[in-house]
This record gives sequence, C-alpha cells and structure tokens, in this order.
Amino acid sequence: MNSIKILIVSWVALFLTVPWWFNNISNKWLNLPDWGLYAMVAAIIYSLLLAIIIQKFWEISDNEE
Amino acid sequence: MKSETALLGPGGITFLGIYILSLILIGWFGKKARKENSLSDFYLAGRGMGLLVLFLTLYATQYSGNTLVGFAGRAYREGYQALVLVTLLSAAVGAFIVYAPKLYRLSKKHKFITPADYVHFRFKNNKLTLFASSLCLMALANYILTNLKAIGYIVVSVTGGVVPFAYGVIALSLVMVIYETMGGMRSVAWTDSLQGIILMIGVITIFITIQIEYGGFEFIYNAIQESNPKKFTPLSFTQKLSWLSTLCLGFFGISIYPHAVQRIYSANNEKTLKRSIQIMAFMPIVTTLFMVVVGLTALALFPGLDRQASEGATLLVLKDLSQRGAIGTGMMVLFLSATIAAIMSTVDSALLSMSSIITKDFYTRLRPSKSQAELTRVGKMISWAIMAFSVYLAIVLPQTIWRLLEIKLELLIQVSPAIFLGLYFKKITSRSILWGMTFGTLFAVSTMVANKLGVDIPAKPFGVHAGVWGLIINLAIVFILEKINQSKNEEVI
Repeated sequence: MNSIKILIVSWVALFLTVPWWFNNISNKWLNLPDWGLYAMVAAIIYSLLLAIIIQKFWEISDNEE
Repeated sequence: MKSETALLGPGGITFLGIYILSLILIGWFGKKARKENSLSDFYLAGRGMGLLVLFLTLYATQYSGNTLVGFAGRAYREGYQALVLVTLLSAAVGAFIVYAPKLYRLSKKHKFITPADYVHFRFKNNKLTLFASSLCLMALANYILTNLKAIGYIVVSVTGGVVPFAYGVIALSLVMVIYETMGGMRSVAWTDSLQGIILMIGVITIFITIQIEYGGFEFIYNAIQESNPKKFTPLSFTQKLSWLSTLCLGFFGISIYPHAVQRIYSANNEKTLKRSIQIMAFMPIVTTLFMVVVGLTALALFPGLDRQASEGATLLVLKDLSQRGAIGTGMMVLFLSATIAAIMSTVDSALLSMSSIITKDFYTRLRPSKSQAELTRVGKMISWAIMAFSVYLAIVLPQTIWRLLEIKLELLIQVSPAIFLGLYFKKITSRSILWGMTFGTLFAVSTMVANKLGVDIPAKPFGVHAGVWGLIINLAIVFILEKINQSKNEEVI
C-alpha cells in the first residue's frame, strides 16, 4: 500500500471515529452513553489500525538494511 | 514554612527540587557525550537516537502540561465530548505514517536540520522557506509562552504561593536553558526520557487509583446523570463537524510541530523510527483517555465549577484522593513531578527547535561562511535570548494578548500542504504552495484575531475551526493555480 492509499484509509477510519450515527436519545452501554462508548472504542480501533498499517506496509528502505 | 494551601510539604518540595536539579546533571552527561561541534550533533543528537530514547522523547514532547491539566479541564466542561482528544493525538500518529518514511530518508540523504530545510530542498523558493519558518516560529513561541505560564501557576500551587509566580517561571526556565545549551538535543532527549517515564507512571497510577477509589465509569455515569444529564445528549450535526475538524487539526497540525519533525530526523535508522511511531500509536489510549477520565471524575465529584476553576480539575481530584487517604505524599509528589516534567519536556524541545530555526533558516542565510562550531555557539546564544524574552513576556504580558496566543495549530496547519503535497506530487510548484499558504494563513489569523478581540465572528464557522477553513482555502488555491499552470504548459506545447 503506498502513502496515498494509507492517507485515504487513515482518513476514512478517522471519519468513522466521529459518532455520526447517534442522534436525539442517549442509551447506557457499559456505564457510558452509547455515543461515548462508540467514540472510545473507535479511538482504540484506530490506534490498532495504525499499528497494523505500520507493521505491514512501512517497508524499510534497502539502504537501511 | 508551609502555606495552608500548599499541595506539598517541605519534604515533597525538596524532593521535587532535587528532581529538577538532577536534570542539569543529565544535561551535563549529554554534553560529555557530544561527538562533534556541529549543528547536526547539537540539534539532532548526531542523528543517532535509539528506540527507547526516541520513543520517550517523542512521547514526552507530544504530551505537554496541557494533557495533564488542560485535557482534564476540558473533559470537566464538555463531558464525554472530550473523548475527541484521544483521537486527536492518534490522528497525529496517522499523519506520521504518511510523511515520516519518505521525509526521514530525504533528511538522512540531504542532512536536513529544520522542517524548512525540506521545504527549501523541495521548492527552492526563499520566500516560501522563510514564510514556512516564520509560521513554525510563531507556533512554537506561543507554545513556549503558554507552557511557561502553566509552570508558574503549578509552582504557586505546589508551594501555596511561598514561591511567587515570577520566581517559579524564572527558576525553572533557567534549569531548562542550562541543560538545553549544555548538550542540545542529546540533553533534551535524555531529560525527556526521564520525564516521559515519570509522566507515564503518573498518569497510569492516578487512573488506576481513581478506578479503585471511586468505582470508575459506573460512578462517573451515575453522578453525572444526577448533576449534569445534558452531558449525555448526543452531539448535534455542527458538533460532529467540529469533532471532525478537531481531528483535522491533529492530523495536519500537531503532526508537523517542528520539534516532532526534528525527532523524526534524529532517529539512528528507519527501523528505530518505525518502531517508535508504532508504540506512539497506543499512547493516546494510556495518556489522553486516562486524563479525560480524570476530568470526568472531577465533574462527577465537584459539579458546578466555572471555567477557571475547572482548569484545576486534576488537582481537585488529587486533593480529594489525598483527603480520603487513598494517596499519600509520595503519589502527590509523583503526579506533580509528572505535570512539571510534561511541561518542561515540551518547553525545552520547542526552545531547541526555535533556536535551530533561527540559526539554520535565518542566520546562516545572512552569514553563510560561518563554521559549524560558530553556528552552534550562535544557536546557544539564541536559546538564552529566546528564553529570557519568553520569561519576560510570560510575567508581564496582559491578559488580552494571552488570548491571542491560543493561535498555534491554526498557523502551523497552513504549512502542511508544503510537506504532504511536496512529498508526493512531483509537479506541484512553489508559487501555488506560497499563495495557498499566504491566503490560508490570512484567513485563519484574521478570523481568529477578530474573534478573540470580541468582533462578532465565530472562531469555528459552521463548527469548523478557522485554521481548517484556512487549510481548505489554502488547498483550493494550490489546486486552482496548478490547473492554470497545467493549461498554460499545454498551450505552450
């Protein structure tokens, strides 16, 4: 995956971390308002996604090895 | 002579004092480890930073006093909306992945020292380079000033006013500038490492103590439902746009703070850089999220505080824990050390970065024949001058001006097209980047300044930050000018 694709994937993921889908009423999920829990879980998933992208797609340049 | 309101007794203050003075010793070790008298050695630790030091200095620099004090205060005021701050810091790591690999390789090959070195290498336009450097300098200056002010208030709180604000700012600034000029980036990175460890332990410990003592999210939910049920209301569409706009500031602004870019240049190899950034991806979870929980706990415990009082949310929770006997003096010292460490590690890095930009981007253009040793000496003198001036301003600046110092990321974000587009679009010209940067900056600054001065203009039109609108204008101008350029070239052919 090149840097442009990483940029797009990263921004799609960031866009999805916004609690867009929650309107009007808030329900209690795991002692958090549902949209708050969504935002927290989305932030954790985004961090994991970044770690995976770095692991799989950051190729060390030949000069380094 | 302990004041009634002091957070620490003489023992705690002495321990804190010893810790702060030990930073000078670390700075001296940094000086002893110097390999050559050059700008690269002084400002980038000879491009030899290993994994642990690079990660810790990136961590300590990225997480300032604002994380420990400001983020909890914001969580107090905004409730669960402050969770955006977690993704804000993650977004900066997301941006590193996009630009750091290529920029690192170029920096190693072409010996960059400052971010503007890349801008000049790529676009070869003096006006653009100096403009980008100036925006970086303004953002860093604001950063230093606000953090110095924070450090003064903490000293007053710790000593209960026995040490006045001005003396606190002067003493801690003196310590920072001494170790910084002794060993440059090496000293700063080593002290950052110690500060980063203290910061991490402090944040994790307070989070765990809160979970045990109060009952965690269940307690927070029930208490806030009783006192502030509005905090549970899902976000309006404008607030959601504002959330996305905040992420934009993190991605294109926080990621290109000059001291962060210079740490990327400082890695001893690409593998080290890759691993450091990979670990950094998880730091918002164990730092920002934990501090947001501290702020929410303060909201649950002490509802009804005004804006100014809410800035002390973290200290209120600490005091409450202390009164309940959940924490002793040791933990109080640990957390206050972490707060001071967070501020110092950010100020010293920003100071070093400012000194490098003035020396490399401005002074060497005026005196191109100066040797590396002379330039390093000038850089050190510049550090002292910046610090002296910053301390003076931190003490005397009127409150109306302080409001303008909040403009940091709005300026910095305008430099991002030069880096992101410059790295990946070969045909893009300096002219379009310069015009885009100019108009983007003008829009962002005029909107922000007008708002801060009381003119009826929102700082976030339609929920989007003025800086992000500026970036949109910036990119639109780049796009339009590139299209015009392209059609002109086609006509010539």
